[in-house]
Amino acid sequence: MTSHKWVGQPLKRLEDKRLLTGVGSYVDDITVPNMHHAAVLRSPYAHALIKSIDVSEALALPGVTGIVTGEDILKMSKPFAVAIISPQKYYSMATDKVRFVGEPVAVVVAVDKATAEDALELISVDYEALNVVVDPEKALLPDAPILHEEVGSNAIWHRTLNYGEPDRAFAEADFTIKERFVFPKYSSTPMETYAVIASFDPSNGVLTIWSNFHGPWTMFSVAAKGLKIPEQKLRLIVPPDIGGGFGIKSSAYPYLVLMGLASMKTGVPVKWIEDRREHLMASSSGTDRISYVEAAVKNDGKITALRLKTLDNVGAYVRAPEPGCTLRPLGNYVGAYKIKHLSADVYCVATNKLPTGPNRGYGCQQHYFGLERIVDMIAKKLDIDPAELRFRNFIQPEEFPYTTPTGGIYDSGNYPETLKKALKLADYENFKEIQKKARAEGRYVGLGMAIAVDPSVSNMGYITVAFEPEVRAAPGYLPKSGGTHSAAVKVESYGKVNVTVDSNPQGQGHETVISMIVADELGLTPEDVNVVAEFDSFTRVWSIPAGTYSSRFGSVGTSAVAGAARKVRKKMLEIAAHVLNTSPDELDIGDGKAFLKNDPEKSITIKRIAGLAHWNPELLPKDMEPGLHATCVFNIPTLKPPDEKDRVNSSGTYGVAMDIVIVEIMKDSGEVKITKYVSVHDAGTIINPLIVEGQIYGSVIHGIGGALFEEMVYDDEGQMLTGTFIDYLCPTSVEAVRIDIDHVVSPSPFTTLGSKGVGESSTESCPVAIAAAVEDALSPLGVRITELPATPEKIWKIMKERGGS
Amino acid sequence: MLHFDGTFDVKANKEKVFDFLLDPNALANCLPDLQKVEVISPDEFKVRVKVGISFIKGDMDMTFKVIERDRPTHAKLQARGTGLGSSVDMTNTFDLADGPDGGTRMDWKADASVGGMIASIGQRLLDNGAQKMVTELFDSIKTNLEKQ
Repeated sequence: MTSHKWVGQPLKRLEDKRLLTGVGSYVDDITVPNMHHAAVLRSPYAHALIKSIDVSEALALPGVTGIVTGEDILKMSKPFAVAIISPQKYYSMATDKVRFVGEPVAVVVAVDKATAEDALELISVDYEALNVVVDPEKALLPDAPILHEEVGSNAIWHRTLNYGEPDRAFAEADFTIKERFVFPKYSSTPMETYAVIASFDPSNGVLTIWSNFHGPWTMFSVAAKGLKIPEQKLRLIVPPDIGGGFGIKSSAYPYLVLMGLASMKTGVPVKWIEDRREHLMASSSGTDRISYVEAAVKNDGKITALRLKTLDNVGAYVRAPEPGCTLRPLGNYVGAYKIKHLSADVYCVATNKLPTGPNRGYGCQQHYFGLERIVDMIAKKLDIDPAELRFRNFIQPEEFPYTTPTGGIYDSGNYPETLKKALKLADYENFKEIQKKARAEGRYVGLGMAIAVDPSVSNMGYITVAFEPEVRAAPGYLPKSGGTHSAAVKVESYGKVNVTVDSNPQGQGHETVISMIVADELGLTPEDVNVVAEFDSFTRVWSIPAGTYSSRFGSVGTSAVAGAARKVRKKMLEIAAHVLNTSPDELDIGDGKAFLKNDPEKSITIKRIAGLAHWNPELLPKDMEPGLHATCVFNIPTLKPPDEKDRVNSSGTYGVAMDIVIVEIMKDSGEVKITKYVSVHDAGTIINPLIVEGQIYGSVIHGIGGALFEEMVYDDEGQMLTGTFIDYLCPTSVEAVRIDIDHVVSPSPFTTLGSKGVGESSTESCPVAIAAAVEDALSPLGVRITELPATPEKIWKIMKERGGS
Repeated sequence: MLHFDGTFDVKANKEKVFDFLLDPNALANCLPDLQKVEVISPDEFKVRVKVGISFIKGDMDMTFKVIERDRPTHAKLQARGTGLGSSVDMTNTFDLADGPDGGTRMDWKADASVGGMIASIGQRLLDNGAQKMVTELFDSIKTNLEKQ
């Protein structure tokens, strides 16, 4: 049994020194011989036919090596594979028609970036503008312009899902409540934008790409197929450092293909570093959603069923992993509640906006916005305290592992305890008094709460709910499942350790956490453990779910590391037992030694054990393989393919984030001021409390961004009005709040250390908690907050209309 | 979508005003910051103009086409341009009537939609900037006409 000397300690991150002193290693730090530079010509139209492209003047500019246009794309590549069955054709660049502002139309490769950019101005494109639609409800009207003629409708994907007996539950309800919600389109604007270097070697047909793409590595195959090259000829290298990702860099893969094709066509290595304007306009964002949420309720406040209708605005194309926004939270659709019946009428709608993809919380902030708002509305209708209503509906601690009607298997948790802790931290008992006093003074003060069951480790099979069950039952259909993480632990001849993991950290501190876990398992210190951060698809042990997304490292990543280290530990103990003439059971490991439990003086150093394994196999136990390393590919067995009733355990572990926020609304400006923020989490075993705290701060601030500031705004012509940080408002240190944090620890039975992911957590609960607080503050005016962001302009207008300002 | 309109009187008769407006060289020379003009046919001409909205500055190529011509009372021109990662689509309508003292009263309107970088970065500055350009254009038309 491993004793934990390091796991659980607030160890400062090993990565911080290089990151904070500006010496991290990013894609833009890489130079390859004869490297050229690319610039991308982008459509100024949201919807237009490309009648012709004339590149002759641009090609004649000295320093221009070559130009890629849609014609090349059609010849050299294939449309990207998508998770839905659809005739939609999505390429890395527009071929005959542009469907959003910023869509690539041509790529210029030149000796330097400036020349490439200058050449863009010399390309003449003849567009024929078409009618534009940006609103998902308008896009479904009969007279709406159609984005994909071959699809014939902007409802590019649609499914109806039924779990239990929702119709009966609605018929038997004491009352029902229904509301329409609008969730905005926003991103996470990582500090480092997309970056790609592509270098094609005609001598062996290998295309090497360096990129800050962070997974899921399912897209590796999607990219190779898009490039029309065999997967074994694609070498993808992710450098040690990525300047933030938050899911947004999942959608970098079309540019791996675009730059790969540019290198293949021009015969030179091509570097492309996206600029901020390109990133805001044309990379990826979260999905804006219009939803209708209806609940069937008993008079005692018990919610028996939900009816959902969601329109996910995926922008110009359904780009894999969409419709993940709709399906990723499927297993946790009922949230923290014992709701037994559910139906969902779910759509992906194509409009002339930037295509969407994972964005920290993927699908959950959209989902919980509707669910937690409707819970508050039920409480109000019944005149029950919103905390009390939640207590009445919670899944109880003794019911775990708990299977939800949609197939989710919640591993562990204690929701009542989590809410109790949050109420205590928020001084909830006294809030009503405080609010009453504030109101008497004419001030708008309100409190909101929200709970998010926070999924981590996406099941590779959840997305196949996109297909009808008959498709999945057809002969020849290949099901998908699992959510593995891979790790390799090598003890070198000198007794120190190198570790690789198939993750692509973007600041999460994986090196620190890995070194802590391995140090504990092998009786070493974190300094003895070197984590090789660069990911090279040619040399690393990796499997298809690889990458850093869906908060997976904290669950399965740590388990894989511990698993590999434990295999090495076992071998170490066998060698030590052989040398010390005892059995491995009699031995323990610690302080750089293996020693006899009942006689610690009798020992052998780890260095000596490693030395034997590498230098002198002769002294090893008979039949033992020399060397000292192991790999572990860790999976959670509950991650099965969806069943014939569309039930699927969409994620491997489920933590919880419980947020309570108190706001005051400024009468003169409509500004929402957060005066208190409480966040209680249950992420199972905490490996490094400093890192968990950092993730909670990050996720809350990100949630505040979505609730109050960030939105990608388009006009009716599909022009993006938030093309710079002047108009796209990111929360900064000024907008950051102090967070009162507490934890409940319910170790997961499904992971090796009992830990779960926590990287997304409050991004899922924070926006709706703030909406609830704003509504509570403005309740004297009878306001319902059903859409975000709650900008000063919107709030001020509401207050003015209702005579409150 | 941007919309501008206006009315003004010119001391010249309708025929003269109409012919001036439909003469590519004459009209193009009224454009602020004109770099070059190329006449393609009596109904079509191309210009390169310098554009500056906030820090977005550079050249834009625009093609003007006469799509309605009803001498001497009515004309409609369509203009399309690209450059600076942006696009401009514009229609300009002129309606001429008898004005005071044998002159001409001109009603004009312009509808423009702007796309790409100028729209995404300069939107909040666009109204003022475009208003200024349009005002300069018509001041210049009036001045040049009355000079003749």
